Parts: sequence; structure tokens; C-alpha cells
Amino acid sequence: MTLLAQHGWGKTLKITKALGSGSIGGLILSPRDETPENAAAVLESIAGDHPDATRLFDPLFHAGQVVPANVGKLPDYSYYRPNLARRDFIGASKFAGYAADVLGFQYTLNVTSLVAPTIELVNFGDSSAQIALQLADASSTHHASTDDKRSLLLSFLINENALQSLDELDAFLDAITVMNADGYYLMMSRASSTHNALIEPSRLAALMYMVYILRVVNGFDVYCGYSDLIGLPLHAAGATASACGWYGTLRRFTFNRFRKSKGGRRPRPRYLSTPVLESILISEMDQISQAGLIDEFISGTSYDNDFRTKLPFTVAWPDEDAALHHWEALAAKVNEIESLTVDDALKKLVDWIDTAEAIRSEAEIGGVQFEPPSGDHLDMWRLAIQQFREMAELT
Amino acid sequence: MNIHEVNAETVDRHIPDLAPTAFIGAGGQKRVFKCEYHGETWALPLIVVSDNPDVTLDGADSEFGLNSDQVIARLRREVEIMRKCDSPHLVKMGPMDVTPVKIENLSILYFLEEYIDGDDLKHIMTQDRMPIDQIKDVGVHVTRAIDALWNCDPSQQIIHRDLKPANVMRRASTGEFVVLDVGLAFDLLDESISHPGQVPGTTLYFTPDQLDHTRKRQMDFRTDMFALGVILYEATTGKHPFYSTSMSTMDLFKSILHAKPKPVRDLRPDAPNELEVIIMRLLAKKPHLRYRTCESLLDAFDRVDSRGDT
Repeated sequence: MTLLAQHGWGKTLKITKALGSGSIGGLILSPRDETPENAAAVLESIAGDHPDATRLFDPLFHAGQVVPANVGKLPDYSYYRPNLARRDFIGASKFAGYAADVLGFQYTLNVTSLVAPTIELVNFGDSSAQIALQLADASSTHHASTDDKRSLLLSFLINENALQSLDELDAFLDAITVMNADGYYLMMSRASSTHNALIEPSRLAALMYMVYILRVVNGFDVYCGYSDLIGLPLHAAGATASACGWYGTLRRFTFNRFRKSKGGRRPRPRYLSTPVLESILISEMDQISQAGLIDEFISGTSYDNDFRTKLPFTVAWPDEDAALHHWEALAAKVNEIESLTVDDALKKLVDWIDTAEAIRSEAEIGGVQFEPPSGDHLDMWRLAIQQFREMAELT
Repeated sequence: MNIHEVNAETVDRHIPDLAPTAFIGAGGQKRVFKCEYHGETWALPLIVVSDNPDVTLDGADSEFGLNSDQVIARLRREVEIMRKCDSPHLVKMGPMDVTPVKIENLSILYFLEEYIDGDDLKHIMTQDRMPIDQIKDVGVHVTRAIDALWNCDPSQQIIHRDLKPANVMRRASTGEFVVLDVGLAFDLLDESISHPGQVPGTTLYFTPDQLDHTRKRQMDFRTDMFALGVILYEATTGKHPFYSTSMSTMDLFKSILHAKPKPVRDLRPDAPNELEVIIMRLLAKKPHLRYRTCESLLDAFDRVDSRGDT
């Protein structure tokens, strides 16, 4: 299991530092935020310095569905198709063309696996699922026709609402488990703009089930993009790797990433506290410190010592340190469940949830006021784990 | 006349080129004879398309819902695929293509296929308890047959759809298991569903995929894997995983769709754990819970210790 950097705008030295410290195992590069020349150079440089690092290039083909779009440097890429509409998916030759163009570009890059194009899958039983399957199939066929021996990851961007129909998910899994691929790159398109870790239990259970079926039962590699903390239950279900970036838009996928920004305030600084499985506000850390409970919330990374000795609001917490801390803290949790069976990993996860709830209760009794919906995800995860166990017959 | 009244003498009268020597088996709307053709021994299956005297084999609708031309075309197409599939575990087609014949009121199709000298698995299972190494052979050989069918022509992947012990023969000379009736398992020729309360052979080997009337799922080679799971469960334990005496067809279907069979080792403690894992996984209700490829199933059989646990 590996934690990967979900690359985006403003990478500075974060990725190389995190690769150097071993808290991430690679990256998923975003063409929206690098020119084609820079993308190639970034991948070459990482391959040179960290030859074992996982290097993926997410073509972001699905960004072409957004109109009007704010897609950064994507138009510089020859494979990019703006204003994608249904008419663009009529005829087998079009699918073959998209697959050839998207994969053709990646063959020139120093990536460890190829990522197939996809569009947002709104419902497992509708035309978007058919288009996504045809893109996957065309990619598989194209890759098999080349001499490139690198592995192919078929890609699916699944709207979280689609995960509510289990019958259709089953039929979809029946279809993709016999596809000719080495693995899957899965992303969940989120509707909500609230907390990253909040997710309706049945949807999380369904996504865990999908990961479990693909990875544990059928032996495919499964990479889960834009996962952040939700990556933990996905790792427990067997995911090969999860990815997390440094901005909110790189930790949870929404199409807002490709829409023109309406402006707004800068996000308030947060601290990933793995004991409570949550990114909490620095202002909340202040209350925790005053309640004398800071040690229970500290994740124990190489970036967070000052929180033990100073009042949290006085700690210098630049974005880069916050991002490096986030990866290091998350990777430590991923490593803890890395070698466990699914059953044991789920038990460990429930144990973490129990601990997080106990720590939060203690803090609340001590007068700490968390800003809603802080902590609400814990019960949701617990329920999701129970539902997943039933679906996977791991009870 | 019905198909069961057709004997070697009748066949000899209507198909004079062949010399049927013995009746060797029957099932559904089919009857099979051993025969001599150009000095060699072959199996001669006769398949009834209709028993309506007004139906002809020149394209009129058959009572089973398909135009007889379509039935012939389908048979010929699948016989052609059989010719392409080169596997020692699939019955070989003979030198005579699908040919129509009218025997009194019966509209019949016949052809020649390899004659296999040996017992079928249904018969073998009624004898002594099968040894683990022989059960493993059944698993490996039938999996190879499923694989050969699915992969012999990428443009026309086919599934058997009627795997059952009566369709698996053990070649006496080599001990190899061979799958019969490939591609001939037309649902339209099986009258089992139209007789509630009765449980003819094929129905016992229906799969959840075939019973999914929402048609959301497309069948693939994993449908045959489920039927193989039923066969292996029976061969190992002596019991059917879903059927018990006096069960109605509807109860059987419900059981196939929803019941979890008793673990294999509860019924046969000396069966190796790896074999139990394979059988129970093959019997999973959802295809994506079975094996992703025949190759991965064969790898799993490789790990079975044929000596058993005791």
C-alpha cells in the first residue's frame, strides 16, 4: 500500500521533500497544472532521483465535460477535447481515437503505468457508464496492440450518487472484472462541498466493496485518487494506493476544480490529527491546548513538535509544512494497516474510530467546542464498515 | 412418434448412409446413437426441432420459438467454432455437418461427433466415492474446456450453458475428462421450465446468472464456472449443493439464487481445504466473486494437494 501525492498547482518542493522522507511513494501528475514540457521534465526528474517511485499521469480527459471550463494548461495537450458532449461518443472509431491519443501521449512520458481516459459515470446503468466502459475497452484494445509493456490502469470517475444502486454496481463489477487490464484508477466525484471525510455510509461501503472485489478477489491493482482520510477505509478494503494533494480540490474530487472560481476567502489552516482521524482547525487546537489535551491530538510527525510546546495559534504553519505533515501523518496510518488482512485492517480501523470518539468526548467534556460537522464522519465510517462487511461476507 | 421411440432401426431407415449400431444416451429433445461411417466409429446425436407434423425444416417457425433456419444456422455456426477449438477436453466434431431429416412427425437435425469410449461423470458419481485426485482432474479438465470455448475465437466467445455430470465423459483409454454437447444447450430445446414441480437434469445445473430475469447481467465463462462448482461439490460430497429431495423447481431456483451451501468439508472432512475454497468460490452468486480467468482457476487447482487431508 502506498500514499501518493495528488499533484496540482503550486507543487514547490513539497513532492520532492515528501519523496525524500518516504512519506509518499509517488505522485499522480495533473496536466492542468503543468505544460506538456514541464510534465515530462517533472516525471523524468522524479524517475532519476527516486526510480522506485510510482509515477502516474492522470490525463483529466473528463475535464472536457465542463463548460465553460477553467482547465489551466490542459488545452496545451494534443489529446485534450474541450466541450465534450454526447455526439462526441457516437461510433467506435471515436473511442479508439481518444484512447490512442491519450495513451499515445503517455507513452512518451516516464510513467510507471498508463492511465486510460474516462468521463464521469453518473449512474452504473445509464449511458455515461456505457461510455466509460467503451473508453476503457478501447484503451485496453489499443494498449494491447502496442509494444509498450508498462501496465495499464483503466480509469473510472464515479459520481458518489451512483454508489447507491448496488444491483447496478454488481453488474458493473461483473463487466469490469473480465476486462484486459492490470489495474484500475478510481475516483469518486463528490457532490458535497463540506467536510472531506463525511460520506454517506452506503456510498463508502459500496466504494470499499468495489476496491475489495477488484483488488482482493480479482487481483487487480487499485489506485484511489483524491482520497485523503477516506483512503484509510479504502486501504483497509485492500487498495494498492491512495492519493491526496495539498489543496481541498486535490483531496476530494469535485468538478469545481475545472470551473471558473468565484473567488472567496483563503481556507483556514488545519492540522491533521490522526488520533481523531480528522483535519481540525488551528483555532480548535488552541482550545485543546488550553484544555491540556494537546498530546492526545498530536499525530507525531516531524513537523508538529511546536504544537506541544507553544500555543497552536503562535506556531508558524506554512502551507508547505501543513502539506508535508498531512502526508507523513496519513502515511503512518496507511503503514499500520499495510500488512494486515482485510478483516484485521477493518478491526484496526474500528479501534481507531473508538479511540477518536473517546478522545473527542474527553475534549468536549474539557470544554473544547468543535465546529460542526467535525467528528460526524466517525459514526458514518463505522456504519460503512459494518455494511461493507455484510456485502463482502466478512462478518 | 416422440423422440424416445426413435431407435437404431428407425435411424437406419431414414439415414441410410450411417449404420447405427447402438443407442448410447438421451437427454431433453436429444437421442444419441453409436454408428459406423466410412469404417470409423462416431457418435450420432439427433436433435428434435419440432414434433409438429406441419412444421417443415425449410424455414417455418418451430414450436420452440425459433425459425428452423435459425436453429440450423446456429448449430452450424457453433459446430464451426467447435472445429476451431483444439482441446483434448472438448468433444471433436465428426465428418458430417448439421443435416436436417424428417422422421415421421419429427423435424430432426443430426451430425457426427467423436465417439468417446468411457463412462460419463453422472455414472461415475453413483459408484464408489470419487478420490480427490480424480475430482481435481475433473476440475482441471473441465476448466480447460471452458477456457478453450471462451478463447478459441475472440470474435465469438462462447459458453457451454449446460455443464452437468451427464455431459462430462471420462475417456477410458487416458482417464481424461471430456465435455460434450458444446454449444448445443439451447434453452428452447429444454422443456424443464414448462413443467413446474419436476426437476429434470439440466435444471439442477442452472446458475444464478441464467435465472437473473432482469437481464442486467450478461453471461460469460463464469456462468460455466458456477456449473463446474456444482459438479465438483456433488463429486466431492455426494450431495447437490442446492437441491434436496421433494424440492419443487421454484424452491430449487430460490435455493440457487439465495442459499449458501453447507461447507464441503462438513460433508467430506478429508477434502483438502484448498479444494473447498475453490468449490465455494465457484458457487458464489455473483460472477465477480468467482475467478477472473480460467488461468487463475487452474493456478488454484495447482495448489490442491490431491492426497487430501487425511
